[in-house]
Order: sequence, then C-alpha cells, then structure tokens
Amino acid sequence: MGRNRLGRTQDPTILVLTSLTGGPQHGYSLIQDIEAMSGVTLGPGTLYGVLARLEEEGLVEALPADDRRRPYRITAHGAVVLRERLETISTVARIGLKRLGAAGA
Amino acid sequence: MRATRLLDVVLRLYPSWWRAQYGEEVRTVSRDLLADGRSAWRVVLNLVIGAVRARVSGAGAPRHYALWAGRTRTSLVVATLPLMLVAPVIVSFRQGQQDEFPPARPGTLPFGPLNISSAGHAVYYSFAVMAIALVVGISTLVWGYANLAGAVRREGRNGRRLRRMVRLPAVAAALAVVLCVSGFVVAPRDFLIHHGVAQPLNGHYALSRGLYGGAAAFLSVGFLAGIIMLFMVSRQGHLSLADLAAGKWFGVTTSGVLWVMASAAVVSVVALWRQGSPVHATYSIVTTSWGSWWIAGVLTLVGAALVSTFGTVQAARALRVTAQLAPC
Repeated sequence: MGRNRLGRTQDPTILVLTSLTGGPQHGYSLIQDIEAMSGVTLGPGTLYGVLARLEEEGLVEALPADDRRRPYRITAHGAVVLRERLETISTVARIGLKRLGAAGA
Repeated sequence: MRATRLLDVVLRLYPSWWRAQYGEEVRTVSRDLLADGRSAWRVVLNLVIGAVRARVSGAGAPRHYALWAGRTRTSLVVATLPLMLVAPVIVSFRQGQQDEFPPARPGTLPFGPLNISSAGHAVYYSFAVMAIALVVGISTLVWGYANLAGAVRREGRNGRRLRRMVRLPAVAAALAVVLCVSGFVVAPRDFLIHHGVAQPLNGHYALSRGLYGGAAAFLSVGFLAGIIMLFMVSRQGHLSLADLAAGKWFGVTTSGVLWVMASAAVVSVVALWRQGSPVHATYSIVTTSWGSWWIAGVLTLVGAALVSTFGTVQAARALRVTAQLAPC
C-alpha cells in the first residue's frame, strides 16, 4: 500500500505528525493509527528513526513514560510545520484532480 | 522465545546513546507487534535497517562533544581502512604486470611495449597511473600514521595501552626493514647453473630466505597492529580538534587516491572489453594479474573508493558538529 508505480507516496514524517494531531500516542498505537489511517505499516525501526529526527528538530516531544511506553505529542512548532506541508500537498492534489477532471471531460 | 532473543541481538546494533534513549520502548513495541501476529523477520529486518540509518545519520544523537568527536574518529577510520585493505591487492596487480611484459629488445625503449594494440596501450598507461597512485597512497598512509601517532602521544588523556599500541606498527616496520636489508646482505651473489638448477656459490641462501620470511612476518604484524590501533583510537582515543581536522584532509586524500586507482582499473577493463574477450587479451594486466578474479578486483577498488568517500563525507559532517560543541 505504501508503494505504487510512482514510488513511495506516503512520507512517514507526515504520517507520524498527522497521527499525533489526534493527541499524544506511544509507539504501538502510532503504528496502529497510521495503518488504519493510510494503510501504511511502519516498522519499529522506521518509526523510531522518524521520532528521533522529529524530536531533534523540535517537532514532537516525549512525555513521561508510562509502563515502558513513552507517549509523544506534537509541539506547537510541529503543528505549524505540518499545516504548511499539508496545505502544499492539498494545493497540489486539488490542482492535479482538477486537471485530471478537465482532461477526462 | 527465539524471536525475542533475536530482537535483543538486533537492538545491540544500534548506537549506545540510541539504545539508552529508545531501546526499551522499541523492544516493547516490537514484542507487541510480534504478539499481534506480525511477521518476525519483517520486524527484525526493519530494525536492522533502522540501526544502520541511526549509525549513519546520527539523528537524535545528544549534542555531547565526546560523542561527536567519537563519531568523527570512527568516520575517519571508515575513510582510511579501505586503502589499507586494498593495498595488498594493488601490490599483487603490480607483480603480475611486471611478469607479463616482454623483455626489452634491442632498438626498443626499455619501458613499455611498442607493438601492442591500442587497448594494450590503454592498459599500460592505466597501470602507470595506478602505480603512481599506489606510491601516493602508501606515502599518505605513512603520513597519516605519523600524524596520528604524534596526536595520540600529545594528548594526555590517552592511556598507556593506546600509546604503546600506536608505537607497534612503526617498531614492526623498522624490524622488517632491518631483516630485509640483512637478508639482502647475506644473500648469495653468484650461482652455478648445473643441469638447469641454480646452486649458490657464496652467501647464505637459507639464512637470507629466513630473514626475508621474518621481514614479511613483521610487516604482517605491523599491518595487523595498524588496523587494531585504528579501532582502538576510534573507540577510546582522544584527539584534539586540530588533529581531527587534519584527519579530515587525510580522508580526502585517501578517497582521492582510491578513486584514481579505481578509475585506472575501470579504464583498463573497458579497453580490454572493447578489444574483445578480456580473458584472452594480449598483455592484459588485469586478467593476467588477477586471472578470473579480475572483475572482483575492479569491483573491490570501486567499492573501497565508495566506502572511503562515504567515511570522509561523514567525518566532515561530524567534525562540523564537534567544532560547534568544542569546549572553549
């Protein structure tokens, strides 16, 4: 599901940030939520690689651990960055769909 | 449970700072995924790829001077080691070439064959480039070793064991030179050919062979000691920022030399390929030196150049962060 003929279309960074907009989540629930949301199954190595990078960039932050499961939440800066990225994707998608519709008509 | 034990092994592939920060969580999430019926090999493979990425990118690594200085040292070892490892391969290349060229005839130049194909010429000049690169490469290794040994001795925080280890390659190389010269001095000069067998008339044949053997043994010990020393320096050595910066230029030179060698080898193979079957080509340096292993030899050189360049780029990046974190 993560790949099609155009290559990898789902950026794990966007998926993780989008999933965290619903509230703080720990690793396993992030994997399940992303799977339900987009059909993409992130492995633990990929997920924590992304979380490490996002934490370093200040886009997410870890909350105190609860039974060896540490929840993460999106920061205010992370929300701003995600909004910008999603708006770009949305604009591209809108234009693409419009043109496809015009070509089909 | 076998999969759980495998997870613990794979998690050890991650850097220690990463394990301290995320290790327990990843173990818990991976166990949850396995309990959920996910494929164990996919989880393990994903963790292995994640470990490689964590080591290469260093994303999320704490901004500690010691940690980033260690990353710089390790990257410099990655940049250096390929040249050390391929040097014996190149020496075998050279030996094959010397045996292959015909002796000079009256009226011809003593260097280089004249009546060979254009592919032969390309191979011949590629070899010349490779020989020069080899000399530059060995000089670079000696220069780098001398600098590193000095840097380790200058830094007071380095332990006695490391200081001693740093001396070992030089001591072994010096002993090898002494034995080699001694072997040359006692070697027979005059021979009597009797029924096609050369019999020495003077000198000490067996002793000289023994001395040459001893020299080769010391050279091998020095080589191994050099590799162990590099690993020790990368793991427990302390080097000043100036020495790390000098190491970066050593990495640049090393990867440059390897690219010259790899390009020369590729040119000679392409020239022979265009001429016809590389295995039967006349004066084929590559094929006569390495036989059917010629493709492995060329690929080894290209691979070594790639690894060395990767190490140099990583060292430059890590050095930039190290310089920002350096105590005033």
